Amino acid sequence: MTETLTTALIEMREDDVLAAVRAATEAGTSPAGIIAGLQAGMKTIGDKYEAGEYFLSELIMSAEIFKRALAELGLDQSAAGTGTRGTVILGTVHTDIHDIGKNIVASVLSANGFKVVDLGVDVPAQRFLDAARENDARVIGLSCLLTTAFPAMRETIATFAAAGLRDQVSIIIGGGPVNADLALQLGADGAGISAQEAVILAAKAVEGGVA
Amino acid sequence: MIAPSNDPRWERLRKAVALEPVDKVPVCLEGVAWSARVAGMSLEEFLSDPNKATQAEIDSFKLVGNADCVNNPTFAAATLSFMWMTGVKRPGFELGPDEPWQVEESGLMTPEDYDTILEVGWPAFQAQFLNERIRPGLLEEFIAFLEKGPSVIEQVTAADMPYLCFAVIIQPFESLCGGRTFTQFILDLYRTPDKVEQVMQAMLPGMNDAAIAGAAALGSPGVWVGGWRSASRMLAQPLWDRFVWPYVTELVAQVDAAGLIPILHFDSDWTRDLPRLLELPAGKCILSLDSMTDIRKAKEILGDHMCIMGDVPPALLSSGTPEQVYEHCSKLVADIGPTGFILQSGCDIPVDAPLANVKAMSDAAADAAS
Repeated sequence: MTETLTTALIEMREDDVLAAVRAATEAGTSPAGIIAGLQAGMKTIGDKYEAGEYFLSELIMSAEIFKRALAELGLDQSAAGTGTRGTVILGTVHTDIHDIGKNIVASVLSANGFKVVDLGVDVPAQRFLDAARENDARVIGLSCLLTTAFPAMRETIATFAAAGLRDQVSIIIGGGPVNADLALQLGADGAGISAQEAVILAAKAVEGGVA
Repeated sequence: MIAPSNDPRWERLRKAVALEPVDKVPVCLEGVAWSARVAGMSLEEFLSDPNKATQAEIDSFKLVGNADCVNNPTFAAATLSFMWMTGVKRPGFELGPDEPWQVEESGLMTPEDYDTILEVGWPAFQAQFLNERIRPGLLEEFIAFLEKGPSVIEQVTAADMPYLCFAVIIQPFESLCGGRTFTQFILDLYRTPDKVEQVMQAMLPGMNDAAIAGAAALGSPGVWVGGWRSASRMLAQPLWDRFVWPYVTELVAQVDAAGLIPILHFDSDWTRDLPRLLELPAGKCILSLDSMTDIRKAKEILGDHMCIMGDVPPALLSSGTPEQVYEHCSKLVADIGPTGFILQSGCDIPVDAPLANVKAMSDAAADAAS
């Protein structure tokens, strides 16, 4: 039963996924079993993205189907065991209001088992720190589109260092102008140049220390 | 188009587009906000008058000294709303006087708007949308900007500053995607593909006629055919084949038929579909890349077919040293040039890029020629 569900998700057949969720529920499959089937589909979709077979549209659509499937079970993403891989604090840094990329990363992280605390846009450094403490988070995602926001990224990283938390969190930067060289320059632990790469970096961070 | 000229800068540009040998790889400055910063003008003042914006571009062009042209000779924030059906936060209004303008994608367009577009047509829908859902007076502001075109061209001609383009045209995909938000529009493409396609086909005829005719009347060498959200990396192949490529080819044909250079301003990653660009007319287009597409792959596939422009990474121009910029650009000139290549930043020069870094970019091309 869950194989049907997994395949339908991989093929982006939204109605078939929802029908399969209903059928599995009626057949007595536990919510945990259904979620496992969905997450197997998300894993395959991520692998296909990495292999260049799938693109951003599939990541977005599958994350949406995943969310609707959970709703069909009467669950939301945070209550569905999807926070079990860890918590990510995410936001667009101070002075920058762009959020297209950040929102996509939030959806894809959630659908891949992370609890995401999205702080929105134009987020001051202290708010990232406060949110990390409140949620006991080990992964911080800083987004920007403007190069003029690089100093705000640097300041945010410095704020964690000044609070003595720098070694306890992995800070990942992302956004249009961001690359690995910039991550090194700013003192971040990695640069996620795609939503799927953000998932990989976040997974590395929670499973094996800093990315 | 660019006519044969005694001015070596224009001649380099003409030959680069025509894939003929050049004495030096031409350098183009695309940095509207950056020009204001370098010229000592606040971004609020820069946006207050198209001629002031042009003056900043002229001043920064002179400060660099050995560049060959600028890309766009002026700018208006209203253009961004016109293209993407979104609000824009502006310096001096929603932002501080020298903070960079920012597109604010907030999903002002609803699914019901697809039917409205089919009912009333795109021009009427767009005019009403701009003034009623984004900001009163926005359409008039955009028209006033366009009406300044002739005086801007007089200004750049008097300053002896070559430029490439005075108009931007876009596919229906970009406008609908901006209006709906990227994520919602992707979901629309999966859930209601036939409706979206019907709307796109209704929008396309005449959508860009005025921009192309206006550019031709002003004597603009080229017209941007923009692609941002419609990049290959964003879309599954079947979606891109259906909702992007047919419209790009049609727009390129329209610009080419008007005797203008289609400047494919393709941001993000188009690597997957580079072979498709061989379907566009040979020796006519400029492919402008922003450092996300593999420019060396573009050269390998398209080097004998179209001029390539780009793609110095914005982060390097903003945060690198002049030596790093020079080294990167020297390698670009060696690898992608000299024939069929224009050295430029990847998309805009960032507003905070030091002048020394932009000079280093331009010097790299000059030194390679000598």
